[in-house]
Amino acid sequence: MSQVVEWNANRGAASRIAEVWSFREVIKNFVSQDLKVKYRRSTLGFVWSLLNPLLQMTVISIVFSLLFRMETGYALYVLSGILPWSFFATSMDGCAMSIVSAESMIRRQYFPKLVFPLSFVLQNLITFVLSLTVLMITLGPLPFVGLKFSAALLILPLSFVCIVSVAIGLGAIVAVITVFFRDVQHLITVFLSAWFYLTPVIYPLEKMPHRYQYFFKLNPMFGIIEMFHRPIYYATLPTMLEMTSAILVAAVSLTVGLYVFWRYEDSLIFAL
Amino acid sequence: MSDNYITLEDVTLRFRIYTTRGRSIKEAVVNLLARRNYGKPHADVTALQNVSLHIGGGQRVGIVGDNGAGKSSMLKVISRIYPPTAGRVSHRGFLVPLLEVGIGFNGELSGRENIFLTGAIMGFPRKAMAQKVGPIFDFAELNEFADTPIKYYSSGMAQRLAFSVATEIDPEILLLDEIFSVGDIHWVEKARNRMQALINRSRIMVFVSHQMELVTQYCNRAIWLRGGRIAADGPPAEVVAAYRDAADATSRPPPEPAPAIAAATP
Repeated sequence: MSQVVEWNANRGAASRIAEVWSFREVIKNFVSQDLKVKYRRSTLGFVWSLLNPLLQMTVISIVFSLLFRMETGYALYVLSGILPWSFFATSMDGCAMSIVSAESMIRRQYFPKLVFPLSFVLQNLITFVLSLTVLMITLGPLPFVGLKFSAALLILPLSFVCIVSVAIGLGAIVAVITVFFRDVQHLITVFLSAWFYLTPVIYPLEKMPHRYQYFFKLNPMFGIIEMFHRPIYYATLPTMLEMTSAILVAAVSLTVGLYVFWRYEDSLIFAL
Repeated sequence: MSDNYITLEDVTLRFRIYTTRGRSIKEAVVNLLARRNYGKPHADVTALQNVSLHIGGGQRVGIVGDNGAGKSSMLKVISRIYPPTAGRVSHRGFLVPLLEVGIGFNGELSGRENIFLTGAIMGFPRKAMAQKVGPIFDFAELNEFADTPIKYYSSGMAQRLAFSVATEIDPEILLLDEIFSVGDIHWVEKARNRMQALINRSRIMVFVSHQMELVTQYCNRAIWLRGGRIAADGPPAEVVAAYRDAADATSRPPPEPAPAIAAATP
């Protein structure tokens, strides 16, 4: 029945992942309760997570259409970029404080600390998937949106896997850094907004001067966001370059993120 | 069932206590640029030094010692909250630590939801926890507040709920840091009885306290920690007496100069 529990500082990736898995009930609780708290506060509840990207899309489409004469359907381009980016940015912000704000729990009971950033990412993922689905179905058929339902949409699960891997990897890193340097939280917000404008999220790469385009392609988030732009807006598969870049970025950030996290995990309790 | 145990083999725990200095990127950068060096932004503390210990089934162990002797650290190492710097720590059995003062609830969530969360953290599936919710609220006398967010509870109410949740769960190994004693007299009496029942149900209890009479009353073994090392280990009466003698010896005011010596000096 009850097995031996032994502290092992050198436990490998497999046993750490198994440990997180054994805490899935806790993760489920964190996720559902955070969502409840978030939506209980307001009468509109989940509608808010639809309104927010919707308003952003409206403002950005109008402003950019006037400034740059975007073609019709630009609203869909904005939408298919803003939703994944918001998922990424909100996850980073949430992950940054995830361990610091769980201090009282961590002092009471043993946790594999990964459950805290992981719960934040999963919670945002649920909002992301729901709002993307709802907005595509409701807005898609509108003439100025013009969503084309094509087989290319079948690539989306892979797009989700990529962006979630990036969010978990980088989220784990910022969660650790914030424990040691609390002001990093503010830097992250500034950094994310700069990164947002440097990434072709709300403007197409083609609108940029030709000789600078390679610079945009070096951006790690470029391929990830194109994994959403291409199937939703262009109704085509991402290019080979974009797909390779997205998968590489996802794999590298997840690996490096978990490595860094587990390297420092055991010293977190003393720095809180 | 009698195979529950806790084992510490040559365990050393060192950790850093960080000061507020140098805990921000801004300061770290400024210090680097200005080539300022304020010395180490932390102090190294040795909380446990080569501690070896075996606690078997049926033992109720009281840990005594001065503040900073490593008592609480020892419980935190056993419960894996603190990773040991060196040595081996292991246990067998369902272990529940009741260590920190305070509640550790999410204020936005209702009492009921917090019970499920606490249950999940301690390793109970939702279904098993659902059967405990009623008795928990009954004991805490908070039935009418079950669906009120914890932030609207008074601190006494929240403490009562926390105590009731923690004591509704049946651990094989119970780690206790001081006995809870919050609330009115009626509650303290009730809480003491429930704590006694919990201790009786557990296979192993390890208990840190500054109240020697509690150690002699509840425990059948006592350990005296001094400076992170085990100074004595044995029957509670003997260990407590030894600890009291040592404490008296250091705290007693220096005796008056003996007249014999005074006479001999000139």
